[in-house]
Amino acid sequence: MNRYRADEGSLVTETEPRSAISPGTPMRKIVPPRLVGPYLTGQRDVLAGFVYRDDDLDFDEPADAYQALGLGFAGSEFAPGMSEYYDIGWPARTLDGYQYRGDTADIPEFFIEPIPIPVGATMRRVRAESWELVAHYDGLAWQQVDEEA
Amino acid sequence: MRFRRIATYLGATYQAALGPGDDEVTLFAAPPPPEELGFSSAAGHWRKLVAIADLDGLRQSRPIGLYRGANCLVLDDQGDRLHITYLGEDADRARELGYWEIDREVFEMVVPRADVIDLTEAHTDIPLEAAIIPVTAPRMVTPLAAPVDPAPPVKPAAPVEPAQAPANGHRTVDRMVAWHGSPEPWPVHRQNGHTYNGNGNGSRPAGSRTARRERVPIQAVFAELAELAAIPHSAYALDDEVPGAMCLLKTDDGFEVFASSDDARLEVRFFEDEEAAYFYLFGVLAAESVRNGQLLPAAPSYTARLENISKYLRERNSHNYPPNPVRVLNSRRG
Repeated sequence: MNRYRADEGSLVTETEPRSAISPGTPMRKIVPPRLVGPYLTGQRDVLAGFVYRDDDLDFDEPADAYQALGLGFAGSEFAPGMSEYYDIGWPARTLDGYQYRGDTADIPEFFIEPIPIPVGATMRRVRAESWELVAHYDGLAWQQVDEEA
Repeated sequence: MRFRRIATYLGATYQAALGPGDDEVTLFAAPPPPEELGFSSAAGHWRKLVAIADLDGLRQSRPIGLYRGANCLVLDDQGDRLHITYLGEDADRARELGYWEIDREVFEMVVPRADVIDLTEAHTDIPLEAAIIPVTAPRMVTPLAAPVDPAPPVKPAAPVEPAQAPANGHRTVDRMVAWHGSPEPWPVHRQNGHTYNGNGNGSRPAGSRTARRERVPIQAVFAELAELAAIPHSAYALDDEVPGAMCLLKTDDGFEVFASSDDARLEVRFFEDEEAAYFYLFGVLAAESVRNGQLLPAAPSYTARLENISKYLRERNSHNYPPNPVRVLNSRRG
């Protein structure tokens, strides 16, 4: 099946070797700044849009993600020189429905329609040389890591 | 009406979330399940981890409909408003429909309920094997839950500030937090020839049938109170009957509030007055939170929304509130 690749206007196929997501594959979603609050306060309980394999994301600087992942979309609050970003990580399951949308900067991109956040998903704050765990999801709400420390 | 997953376990149905283990599912219940099932109480609800393989069944309920002829999914039901997301691959079409691009190619907005037609809940059975991560699955090189930096975590009350102003003329959801029950205004946009701010309170053409006095919907106030009291969404269902939840349904002559189980409605109460029904429901849910020690003082970040509730109450007091005597007409076990 062919799918339109919005960032280049070309057609790519879903049958490329890099297109497969096996169950258990660690996935990541870069969280737009405007959605960090709604996630952590429980106002948003789905994952949707472009997601990536954890193994494919390896940036020297958070700002590198801006160009590589097309974070300058219409209305975006990401900045080209951003010094940090938040992401959510979870293991893939067959029913999540990952649609391969081609590569951007040699990074395979996958798109998902909204899925409930799995229990055990984690939110991180990612900086240039480190990241910190912000919270984990218990199925109904995000729990700060220091609350259970 | 809510996007959710539902599991059947030992003959009873529960709201369910996959994980945390590869082969586990977490079940949630609002009223306490039978003690022998081994649910534990937490944060105003009851939960239990079970093996996915032990479920009788698993299904997904997706509220879907048509907004101006295009498929949409309801992410949240606010009563007279729906938070919807565009289901399609035509970004230009989504923008034409008035959606906001809240994330790259993710389009959402809040619309009056009446604007979404053919609203239905699509139930899909999920094969249990599709929900289980097999033991042969790849594992993370970098564990998702293992911090490598001992720096203190960020407080949820202080989310990321916008890194820059929007670089183009498209709408932004700078009040995204407002969609979930808050009566605060949305960014104004044009729709169907009149101005709409997402709360159903926008200015409309003179003589419009839908023009009405500004008023904070009771559903919105309830949603705020429930959030402030840390009452989970799974604990209640509005205009819907969800097993395991406290439900509020409109009937021909009033409103019913009850605890729903698989085959019965328990502790049914009937109210002629809508506000009485909502506040009774809140009281029941809050009482459970108090019993569990989960009802804590509101955080400072909620000040703005508390003001909204106060505004609502003041408004009600100025209009001969309550409009009708509150009468509990029925009290029975279904």
